[in-house]
Amino acid sequence: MKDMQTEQDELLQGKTETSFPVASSESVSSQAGGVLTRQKPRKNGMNRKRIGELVFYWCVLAIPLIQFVLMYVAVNINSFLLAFKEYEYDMVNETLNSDWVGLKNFKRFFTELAQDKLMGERFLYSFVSYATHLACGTVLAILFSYYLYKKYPGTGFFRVTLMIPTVISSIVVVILYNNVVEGIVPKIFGIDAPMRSGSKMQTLAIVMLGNIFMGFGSGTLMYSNAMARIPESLVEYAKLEGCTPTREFFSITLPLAYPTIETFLITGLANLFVNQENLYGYFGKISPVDPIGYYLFVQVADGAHMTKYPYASTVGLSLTFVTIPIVMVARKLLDKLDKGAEF
Amino acid sequence: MKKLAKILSIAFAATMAASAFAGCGGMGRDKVGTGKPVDVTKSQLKVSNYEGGYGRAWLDEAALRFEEKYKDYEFEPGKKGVQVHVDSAKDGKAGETFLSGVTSTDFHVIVTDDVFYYDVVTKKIAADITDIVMTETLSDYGENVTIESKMDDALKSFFKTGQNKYYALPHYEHFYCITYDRDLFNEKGLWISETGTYVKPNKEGKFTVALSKGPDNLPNTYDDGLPATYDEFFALCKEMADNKGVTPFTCSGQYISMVTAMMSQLWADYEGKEEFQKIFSFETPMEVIDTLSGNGTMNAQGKYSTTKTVESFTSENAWEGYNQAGKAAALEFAKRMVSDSDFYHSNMFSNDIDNIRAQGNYLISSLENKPVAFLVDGVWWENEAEDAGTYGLLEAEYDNAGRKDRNFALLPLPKATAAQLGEKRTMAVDVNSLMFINAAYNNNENALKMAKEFMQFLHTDDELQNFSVTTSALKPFNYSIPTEKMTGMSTFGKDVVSTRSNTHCETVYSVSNHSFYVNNVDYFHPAEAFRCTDGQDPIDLFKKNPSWTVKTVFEKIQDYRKTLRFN
Repeated sequence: MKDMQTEQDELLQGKTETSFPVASSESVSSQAGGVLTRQKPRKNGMNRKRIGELVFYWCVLAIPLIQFVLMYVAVNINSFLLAFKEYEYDMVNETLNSDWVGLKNFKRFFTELAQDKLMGERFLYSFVSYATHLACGTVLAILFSYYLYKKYPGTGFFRVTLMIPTVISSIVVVILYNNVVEGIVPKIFGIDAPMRSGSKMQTLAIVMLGNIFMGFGSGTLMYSNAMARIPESLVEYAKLEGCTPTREFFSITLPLAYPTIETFLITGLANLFVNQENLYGYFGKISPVDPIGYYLFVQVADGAHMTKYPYASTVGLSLTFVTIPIVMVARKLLDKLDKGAEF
Repeated sequence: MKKLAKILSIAFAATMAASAFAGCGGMGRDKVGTGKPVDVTKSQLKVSNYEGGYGRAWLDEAALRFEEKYKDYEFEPGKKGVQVHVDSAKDGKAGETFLSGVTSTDFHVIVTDDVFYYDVVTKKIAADITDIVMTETLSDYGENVTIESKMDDALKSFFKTGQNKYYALPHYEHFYCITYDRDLFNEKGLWISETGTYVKPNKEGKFTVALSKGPDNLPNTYDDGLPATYDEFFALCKEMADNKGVTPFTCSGQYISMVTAMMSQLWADYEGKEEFQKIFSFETPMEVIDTLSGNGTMNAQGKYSTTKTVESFTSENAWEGYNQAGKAAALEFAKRMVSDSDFYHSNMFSNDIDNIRAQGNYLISSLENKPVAFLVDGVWWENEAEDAGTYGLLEAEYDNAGRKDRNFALLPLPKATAAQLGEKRTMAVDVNSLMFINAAYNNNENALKMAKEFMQFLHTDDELQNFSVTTSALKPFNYSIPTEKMTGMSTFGKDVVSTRSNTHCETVYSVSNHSFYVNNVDYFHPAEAFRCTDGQDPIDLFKKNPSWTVKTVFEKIQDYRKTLRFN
């Protein structure tokens, strides 16, 4: 018969199974007369298993994490630093040098903002674009989502057709839309190609029309999914109480779907100075209208030299400082509009 | 189930991890699939070619000649001769994106376009070729000169770095022009006589009256009978439209910026080589327009009274370098082009007419008795029309409609006024296309030697001539093409290449090593030269706003350029 000490040693060495958990490396000895201590947990299968799982999870996450650090964090840090630099070709030493220039790029941007009519126009295009998407795109998407949610005639057909532009690559849709508007429509109506022959606002309007259509599907999908979560019993109760569809929309559907709508409104606002309306797909680097998002993209698109990057970075950074408070204020205001209705 | 989930997770993670290494391909990753069977007893030379505008035939033929010349030569131990593989395309062979991936390919020689030489140098993309350009003569080919000695001074100063090294050579001359139809001129009697009447040759092709001297103001030269001044030119346009049933102009509406780029030719021709070069070199003193008076048109002597002299350029006033009088003269020309709607084709401003369709419309116009006299396009337009099959289609439908049957020519641009007659014909040329050796071979002596030999070969007089004969284009080097070599060329091609041997013609290269040019090169693109706050193309602005004067647009351009910051 083993004595207690031997049995404890065997437990510690994992040779014998124990029916009670052992918490620490210290051994419990009742007969040896030693000090009472906690049992050290053995590195048995369970702990090894846990460690193994953790190692596995971190290995799986490592690649995307490294990619995130390199492609997002490092890139943005570099963009931030770029705004305070200037690049110059040094053909004596055959190098491209970067120098710290402090706030020089920012001074240039704010000077242009004050003096350059073109820069002012770019911001105007961005605001017009955002307002139009908000008034037409978002509002129509919400109304149309309600239509789909109520399963009115043609719901299945609309779900499919609205999804198609979302599924197909955006450049393909742009090319299709361009060919219809600039090729087929003029032939049918005997007019000049409307996107390129009219005023700048006309060009922007036609481009936005296409983009609203392209983005309609994804918005409709999200809003109608939010609406679909509304309990059926609530709707039936409202019907029994004599609630019309219009009243139901404003009093039940909209408040309950509001959190989703608010999210999209906030993200849309954050894209105010980023949205380039697919203009590069329509016009390449030479668009008659250039919202600030498109302008910045073209500055660094294919063929751009490193010498242009610092200024583009400066403009982007300046606009970020402007956008952040706008988004935060907007969020506060939108939160206030939330009636707090819950399922 | 858990095990399966784990295995799948590992598999997906491994796939993700593998994709992260996609960009790490090294030598040999980009196999040249030219379809040519590889002869392992010979050294292999791989060439990447951008074939937009000029095709690949010139390079394929040169490659065959190179292979023949070096069929017994050992570029590397154990291999006799060389096989040249040409990988040629329009897509993915030009631009900065292509440039950034060059050193990870196994191409030895790169022939590309739309790249900036200083990017090639500072990013260490090209091998040092100073020895074959500056030091070694082309004695192996019977020429006791270096490649450098064939280069214009402006090109030498641009391409030679501060370390006295060369890393690339300019590839082809690139400019926009006005093409005219000589057959149409003969048929409709559009030649201008000495007395100012419009005449045509007799059945034997001879003129019974003396023709006007043309812009060079010399009798019995290539430009006799062509309009010499802006006034003569637009009087001819009026005659075409009113009495001859000919539409003067057409161009691609989608690329109307070609007219803008052509206006740089008018500008250069007005200023002359020395003065026009200054807008890139920022050499002073420079005469510029201060303000324009009246509606901004020139006086009878072709001058603008309100000029000033810039003695030095700083980053604050660098924009003034673009205020030369030649720019105002070009604006006047553009305004007059659209001053009468009968002067241009109804399609000229249609955005669905690309360059290929515009060329087709031009080529078919006289065949269908709705003739158009002038096409504004790049000097490579005939190659494009041929590659697109336009000439082939027309040949199948009409008699004498092939490229070699037609008689198009490069219009020598008229002078602003009679006061400028006799001045040299100045042609402004861009140099965005380059030829260089892949820096990836810097440590491979044999491969480097082979590539350098090929580059030297391509810059012998013979091969420069062959390039011009095949492409109807010129390379930016000093060489002439013997008449006997031109026999297979089209009339237009002959006319283009003959400007090289014409002592009355001079070429100004739109490059400089001044820091204002180098660090702001995008501001100097020909299509950017006339950009203003309302748009990029003056001809479009004048058409949409007929009340706008030259002064209006000139000031708008000034306002825009004032906002540019020069590093």
